[in-house]
Amino acid sequence: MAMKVFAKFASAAPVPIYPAAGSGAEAALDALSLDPRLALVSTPRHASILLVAGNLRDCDRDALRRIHDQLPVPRATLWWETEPLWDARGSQFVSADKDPTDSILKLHRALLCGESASEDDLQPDEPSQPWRGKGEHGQGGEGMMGGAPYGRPMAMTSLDIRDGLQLDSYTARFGPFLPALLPPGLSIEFTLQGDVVQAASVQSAPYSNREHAAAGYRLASNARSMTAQRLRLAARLLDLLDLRALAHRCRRLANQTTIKREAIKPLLTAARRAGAFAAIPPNLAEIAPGNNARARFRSFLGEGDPGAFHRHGRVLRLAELLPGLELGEVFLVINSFEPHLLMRMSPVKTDDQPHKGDEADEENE
Amino acid sequence: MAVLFTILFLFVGTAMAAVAVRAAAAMFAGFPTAKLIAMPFREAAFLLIQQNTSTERPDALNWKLAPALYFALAAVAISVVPLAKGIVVADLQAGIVLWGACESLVVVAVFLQGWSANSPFPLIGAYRYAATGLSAMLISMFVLIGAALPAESLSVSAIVEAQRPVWNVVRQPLGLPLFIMLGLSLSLRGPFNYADAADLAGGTVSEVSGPSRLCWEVARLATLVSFSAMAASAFLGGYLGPVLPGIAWLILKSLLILIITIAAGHLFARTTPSRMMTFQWIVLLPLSFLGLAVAGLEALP
Repeated sequence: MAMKVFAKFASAAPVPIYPAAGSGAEAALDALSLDPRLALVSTPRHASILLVAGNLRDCDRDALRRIHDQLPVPRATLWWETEPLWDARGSQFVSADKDPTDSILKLHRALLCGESASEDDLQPDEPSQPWRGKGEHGQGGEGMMGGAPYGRPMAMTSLDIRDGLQLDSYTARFGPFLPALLPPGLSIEFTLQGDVVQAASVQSAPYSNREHAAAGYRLASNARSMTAQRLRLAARLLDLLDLRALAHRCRRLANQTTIKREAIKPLLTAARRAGAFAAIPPNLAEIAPGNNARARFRSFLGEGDPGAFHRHGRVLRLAELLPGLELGEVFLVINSFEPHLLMRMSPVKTDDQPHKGDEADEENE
Repeated sequence: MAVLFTILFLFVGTAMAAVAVRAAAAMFAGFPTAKLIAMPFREAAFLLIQQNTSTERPDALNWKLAPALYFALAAVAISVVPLAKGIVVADLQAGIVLWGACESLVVVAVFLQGWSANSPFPLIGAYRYAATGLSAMLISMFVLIGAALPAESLSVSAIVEAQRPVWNVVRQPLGLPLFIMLGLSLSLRGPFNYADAADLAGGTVSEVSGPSRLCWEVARLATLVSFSAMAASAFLGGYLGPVLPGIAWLILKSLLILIITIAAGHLFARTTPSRMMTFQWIVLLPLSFLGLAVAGLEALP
């Protein structure tokens, strides 16, 4: 009885949701973040509900299953306008024309009060690859650390490209569902020394604008929609700079039916006063004269136009821009590009989704 | 008596800080502020129900100890702060040295929290904090020595008593703003939050859930309370004030510092760690030297 009262008390806290956005879902998920009863969190470890929205590529399904198993118990999955990929106890489906908020609140309360069963792991709790280390801790082989325990090479010292300080470098993949740091669908493999990126390679491109349109959202060529999209991009950058309240104000404006230019100005002023532009290193990721991360950020809030995005008549690849940057700078750079530009800079072909970025760009430009 | 009051001060202060953090976030974002008082306690209850997750091969012992160490440092640090005249747990002759030792060891607690998870984001958060925290601690030492000069003593009680004619915030106007930056760094907030930052998906807590996360958040808030009490004592005259009892003045002044620190966390952007380190070493550290030099000149007979 006491536990039930305690669980009921706890269930009125904002519901922590980990959003996994497929194509066409980012704007809808952004709108959900405006509800104070919900909290969109940046790591699955803080969530109780996995909210999957929009269509997913086949190649992203394994990543989604791995994320599911990282959610602490009690947990459940809610599928919004997408076909469930697994049949687990407690999973729920909400159609595209319905607001999922009520379903989320009910599901969360049922989970905490024990009225709904928590979902089990989807993957076996064992390493995904066999042990290939030579010694007990993976040592042995080349030098002292040449083993590959569970398929992951041991960190090895290598030349540093920035300050000559040699540290152990290691390689890890980030994305495709890392909502606070990367656009939906984008997956990048980084080789890091400390927090400095030594090498980057795009593994999967972000979901395209064309699919946004197919899912029923307005095309980015629509002026209002383009402004809203830029406000959402500004909000992502403000989040990364830990200005969450200001980011929230940007998202609220982006979700209004009409967006007046005068309404954006106070946000620009507030961002300037908070040092949001000054916090981004000058000339960071300058892809053409004057077109750097800071200028692109300003343009999202209606100040200036960053201009061309070609250098020497060639569109730079995202992977070329990132080596030498700190990880924090990397996420600022990636989120300073509009989705259609980011797609052109991340040319990856997958078996199940041929890359159509250039076609989408032509339409949007 | 002093121990009881200090424990109450820390725990009630931590609860009030949790409410203040929620209220500030809602106010700055334009969310409704109704029902906010219960919200942090509901969130705490949720974390108690949630599972404590683990990672592959974590340093389990240190992962459990890190929040306890972080909280213990806050508790030890506040023990040198007099709540009212004669009410202090440890009225040490070198009180601010003990405080300084505690604030320096916060780097160890935060580093252990990030290191132990055996995961990239927490580890990077830990490294970043060790890099940026060192310079923040150095600045704070110069600022505190400046505050101690008029008292000609390192005892916190003596520093408070020396402010009877005029508060240190008036004598040394640079001291309090610089010290508040330390508070942001110690409690992992806003422009100085390099450990649990948004650009690392939560950094040192990105792999932490359930009761462990609750312990970490409580320790962060306790550190904020401990810092606020010290800042109020070192710069705003601590328990000194007319009419009201001394402890009431300390609570009010600590609350003011706490609100300013939380607000600063929302009002200023966080730059990249390397730029922040440059800013700290090239701008803030010389400023703290200047503040110390001015305090030294004022203290000359």
